[in-house]
Amino acid sequence: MSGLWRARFLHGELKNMKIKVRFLAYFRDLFGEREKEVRLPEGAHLRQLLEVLCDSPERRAQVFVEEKKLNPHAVIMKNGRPVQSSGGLDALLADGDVIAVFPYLGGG
Amino acid sequence: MEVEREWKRYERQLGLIGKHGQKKLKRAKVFIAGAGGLGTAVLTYLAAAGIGKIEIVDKDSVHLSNLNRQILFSEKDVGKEKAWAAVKKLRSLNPHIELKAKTEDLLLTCLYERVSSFDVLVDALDNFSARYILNRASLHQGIPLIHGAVRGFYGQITTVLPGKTACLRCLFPGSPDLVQPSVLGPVCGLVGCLQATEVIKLILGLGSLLENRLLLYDGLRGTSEEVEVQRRPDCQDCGGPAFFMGNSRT
Repeated sequence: MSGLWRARFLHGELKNMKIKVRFLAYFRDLFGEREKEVRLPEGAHLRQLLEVLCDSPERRAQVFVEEKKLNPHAVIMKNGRPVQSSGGLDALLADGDVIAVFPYLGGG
Repeated sequence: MEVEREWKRYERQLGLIGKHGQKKLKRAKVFIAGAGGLGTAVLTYLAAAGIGKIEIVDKDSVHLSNLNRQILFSEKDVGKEKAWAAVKKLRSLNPHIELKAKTEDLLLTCLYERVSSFDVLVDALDNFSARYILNRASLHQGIPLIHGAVRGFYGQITTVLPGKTACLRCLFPGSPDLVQPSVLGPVCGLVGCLQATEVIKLILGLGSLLENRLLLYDGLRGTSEEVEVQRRPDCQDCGGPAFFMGNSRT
């Protein structure tokens, strides 16, 4: 969270956004719930959302690699499109966005 | 007499789809990529249902470690080419349909012309490199593609209608390396059966297909959920007019 952005939020200059997050398959067990609503100040990116959600080493390990990149074994979709193709961790979030997190399945 | 026997074998589904529907299945041509955990389930049910022409492509031979999930094979098939072993078994299941086997690697194949005469393509593959090739063939020829994938206790399925729905690359623009993921046989069977159901619905024009919906099955919880998905205008496979050359058949 940048200092300026945080300061603007704390001074009430930024509105809250509601982001719905859905956890599927083993992410549901990892995060202990099927769905969660997260409030973030406007201008937040996916990175900020995931920082809020990943509050344990186990959760971070499943979502991030090398602390700065998305784990390629986690599929994260924003409104039905993979974030990998729309900015990754820097994808800008908007009020009402739906984020789905599920494992990458590739076997047959 | 032979014709009567053929109708008799479908007796329990004629009430659902009628003789007209059964004839549609008989006229249908389905291309199945992969004769593994998903493919053997898809093949079994499509052959039993009376799909008139099925082509199976797989590059591998049967290994002992396949037998926990690849239900068409037995110990005596170990070492045999999967596509041919599958055809042999399926011929005894339903001698009234046309089956064709091909042992080849999709990564080394020009698929566009190969699949042009088929009505449906089934993705029962085990890697995304080959899936992308099948995806492009589907888009290029305008042929629907039924995608399935599994890992552990989880499975997923979606139906790609070229020009209408998100394609595989829209959903999965890149793929991580997966080294032989563990997988439970019944999960393969379940996802394969869902794929076979999509194929039959698509051919008969029944129900609602998994269009722009990715269904995720959670075998540990015994639940399934959907993720609504969308086409990506920037998709490298279907995003622009350059790639979508064929006329959509959907």
